Amino acid sequence: MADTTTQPFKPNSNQGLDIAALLSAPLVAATKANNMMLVAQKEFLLNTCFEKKKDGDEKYYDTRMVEMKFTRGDDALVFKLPLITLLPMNSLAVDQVTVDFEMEITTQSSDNNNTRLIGKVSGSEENSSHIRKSHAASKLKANINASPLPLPLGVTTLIDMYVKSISPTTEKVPNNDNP
Amino acid sequence: MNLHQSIPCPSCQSKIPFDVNYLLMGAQFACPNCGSVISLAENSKETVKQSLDDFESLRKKVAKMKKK
Repeated sequence: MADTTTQPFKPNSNQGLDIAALLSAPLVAATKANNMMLVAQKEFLLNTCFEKKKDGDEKYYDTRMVEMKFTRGDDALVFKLPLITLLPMNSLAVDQVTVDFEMEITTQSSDNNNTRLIGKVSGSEENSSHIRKSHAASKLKANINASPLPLPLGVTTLIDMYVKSISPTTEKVPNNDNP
Repeated sequence: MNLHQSIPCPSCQSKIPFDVNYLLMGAQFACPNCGSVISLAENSKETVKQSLDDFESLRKKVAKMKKK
């Protein structure tokens, strides 16, 4: 079985550090976490705001409704509202990822198509007709922020559709004074 | 009171701001345009309360995921 314990970070001075991998690793982890959270949120929406129903062999989700009272002057009416429009939901996702570190760039290489930065303690020089390398050391400071995620478009569209469909009903509350 | 949520007035379609937690406590919210009043029906309070509790549990679960 593979050893999964966390090992102290020991950069190999001969191989250098791949900056792209360093920057992307936390973002990949955040993306995986976001995926897990969105799946949990989807399950919540389906199980709470909808009712699973069965019509023959066909299974479908029906909107769970709640009743609201509406009073205008002496008239008291009841209208039904989808539960999803009442819940103060926001997207449960990683709202910020900051990768903040300093690294000394010791080698920069470029060819016709790509530029690659490698940070390492020492390096070797290599020359060819289309590869250029320089050893001017400089510091790179990376600060990556992932902005907050809004509710998925499908959910906001659904809520908008429900909200815009609200209209007066003809269901009247029985008046106890006149049986 | 957090009045970021709103629903259209069934009468005049103006937006009625509301806070679901206050709806649960029996508060009424009035339409700023026509004065019509909305409130949560007694028989729906349990459904809404349970949903809010479930969402809060999910939020806590997600907070734990973020810390990991």
